[in-house]
Amino acid sequence: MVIAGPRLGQVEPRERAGAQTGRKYEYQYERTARAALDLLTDTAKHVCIYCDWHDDYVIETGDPPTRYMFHQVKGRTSSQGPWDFREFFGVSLKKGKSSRKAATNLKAIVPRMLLHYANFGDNCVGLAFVTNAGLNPALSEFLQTVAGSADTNALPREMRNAFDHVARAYAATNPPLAMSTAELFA
Amino acid sequence: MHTDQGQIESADAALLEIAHVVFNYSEIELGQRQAKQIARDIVSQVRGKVAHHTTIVPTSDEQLRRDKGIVVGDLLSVLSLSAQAYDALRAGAGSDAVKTLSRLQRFCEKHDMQKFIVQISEFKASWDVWRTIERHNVSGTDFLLLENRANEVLKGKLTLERVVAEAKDIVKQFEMVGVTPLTPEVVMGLIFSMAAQSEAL
Repeated sequence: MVIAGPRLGQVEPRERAGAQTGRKYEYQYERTARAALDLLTDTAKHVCIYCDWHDDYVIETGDPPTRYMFHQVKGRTSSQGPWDFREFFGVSLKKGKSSRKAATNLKAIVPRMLLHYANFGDNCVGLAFVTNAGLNPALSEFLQTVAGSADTNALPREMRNAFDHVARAYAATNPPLAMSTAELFA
Repeated sequence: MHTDQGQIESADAALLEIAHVVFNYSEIELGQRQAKQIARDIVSQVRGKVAHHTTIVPTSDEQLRRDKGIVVGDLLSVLSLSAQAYDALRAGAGSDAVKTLSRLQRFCEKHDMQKFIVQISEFKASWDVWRTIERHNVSGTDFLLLENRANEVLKGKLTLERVVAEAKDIVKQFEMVGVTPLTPEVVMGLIFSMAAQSEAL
């Protein structure tokens, strides 16, 4: 009997996202496993690594009372390029309109991280973003400048505007991610 | 901010990275195949903890660690290292407990003493404590002589009986060397401490 029609391998699947999504989950597990290995060293003083609880992984660290370090893991394919300002802060930077309140994507990296401060207060010893990709130059420069500045007044004008813009957007969320520019900077 | 971490395009490269860290941290002698299998096992532990979804909030720290956490004991079991011996070593004043345990375990396997690994680790810990306390009381030359005697023990054919006999003998020679009494257990700790050093990769 002759059967007409193409074989499975001859037709492009409608979508292949499943495999890529699966790999992204594996990447998260691999980074968690890598972090867990630090339990084997004396220097790290880590007590436990929690997997996918409040964040992709959380390191419990220090002498009792221990504190938590939250880690958000995001893998991306090389075709997606480096992370940009909007993806990182969840707020778009539109030149000339920075005084208007912008909408915040609460699923972006920083908004999700800030929730841990709100939930855990002093027990939150740090927030970290773990990725296989890089940051685009503008975002990288912005973060470096902010990290190297004593306060927001020390920021160059354009960066100060960008910082204020993010702070206003975060203050407008419900509940607010940060009440003020000063609080966000701290 | 941790950028450029790991490999998303290649699962194999990701496993190799983890395997490399396993070796660096533990000094366990592994072929590449075994090392990758250990890496796979650790990732699998993570996958299992991620999949756990029956934790009821509020829950205690201990319960949450069991449900969603990975602790050092979980890793030691993947690495086939004794958790009890690890705890014994941690009770001392030494550093790098995992590497020390890995070296001690390798030494014990070579000399058919693996069943004594917990006690040997306790001796090693008691030596670390003794040395920490006595480092200001015992002269450098006495330490040198003591270590030299311990080293001599390692040169001959090693049985537990011989190590014990030699340790008792060393105590007779050095018992008044410090303020805290030197015991055969402490000297055995010194001997196995030097044995561990000799197993460094």
